[in-house]
Amino acid sequence: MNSNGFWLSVEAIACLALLGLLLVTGVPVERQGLLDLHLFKKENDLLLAWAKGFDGLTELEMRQMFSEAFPGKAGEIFVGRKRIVVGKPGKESVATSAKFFGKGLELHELRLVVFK
Amino acid sequence: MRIIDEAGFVFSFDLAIAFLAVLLMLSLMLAHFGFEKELALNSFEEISLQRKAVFLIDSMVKNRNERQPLLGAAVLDREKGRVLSNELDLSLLGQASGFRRESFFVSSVSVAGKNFLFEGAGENCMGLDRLVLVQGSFEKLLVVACEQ
Repeated sequence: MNSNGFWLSVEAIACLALLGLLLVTGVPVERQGLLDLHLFKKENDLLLAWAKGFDGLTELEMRQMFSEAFPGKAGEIFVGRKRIVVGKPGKESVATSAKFFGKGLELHELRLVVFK
Repeated sequence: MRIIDEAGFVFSFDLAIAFLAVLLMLSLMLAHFGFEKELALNSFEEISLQRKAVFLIDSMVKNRNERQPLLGAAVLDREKGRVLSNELDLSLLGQASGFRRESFFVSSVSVAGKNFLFEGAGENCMGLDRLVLVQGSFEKLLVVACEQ
């Protein structure tokens, strides 16, 4: 056996293994924290506001309240099956929904999606 | 002899380069792990502040605590015997004198632009807002929490 060749091969394998380990460790990912939870809670606040004043609520008022609550963010508001888009939809979102009874005990459903 | 000398020279040269390459990769790996450690430490501190701030403002909006209004400032409906979540009692909030737990403290509280508390700033602060009902109209509650 050629001992020089053997040690060269061992060294080459060690280098490749180290390179592979470096590639596998990857790029550190930024952690999201609890801001998504806070966004979810704010969405619930807005749904609660809409549910309480639902009878006289117009689409324009809903858009205005959305823009005040989430300045600079885009979203989608679903009133039953009707979809209202605010801004340009993105990829990642936080969504919540609420069901409630109106004055005549009719069931209403509101769904809110806010894009991050 | 000359062929053996040349082969030996090439072999040594190759070995030296390989050794340097291994050292370089080791140093890159250590730098990477050091960077990861710094990122993890910063994330931990950031998440710790976020956790305290998010839960504090949620507690302020959902509960009622007459001894510490910054942990609960919701309206109490005495007739129904329950706390009305998301409805803020400004008179109770006005009685707040501050909240501090170890290095975490509430820096300021304001509702609809009106300040109810200001305790100065810390080293690391974050502001959060929630929508609340105040005497029939919806306003923004803004709380700034800091860590020294």
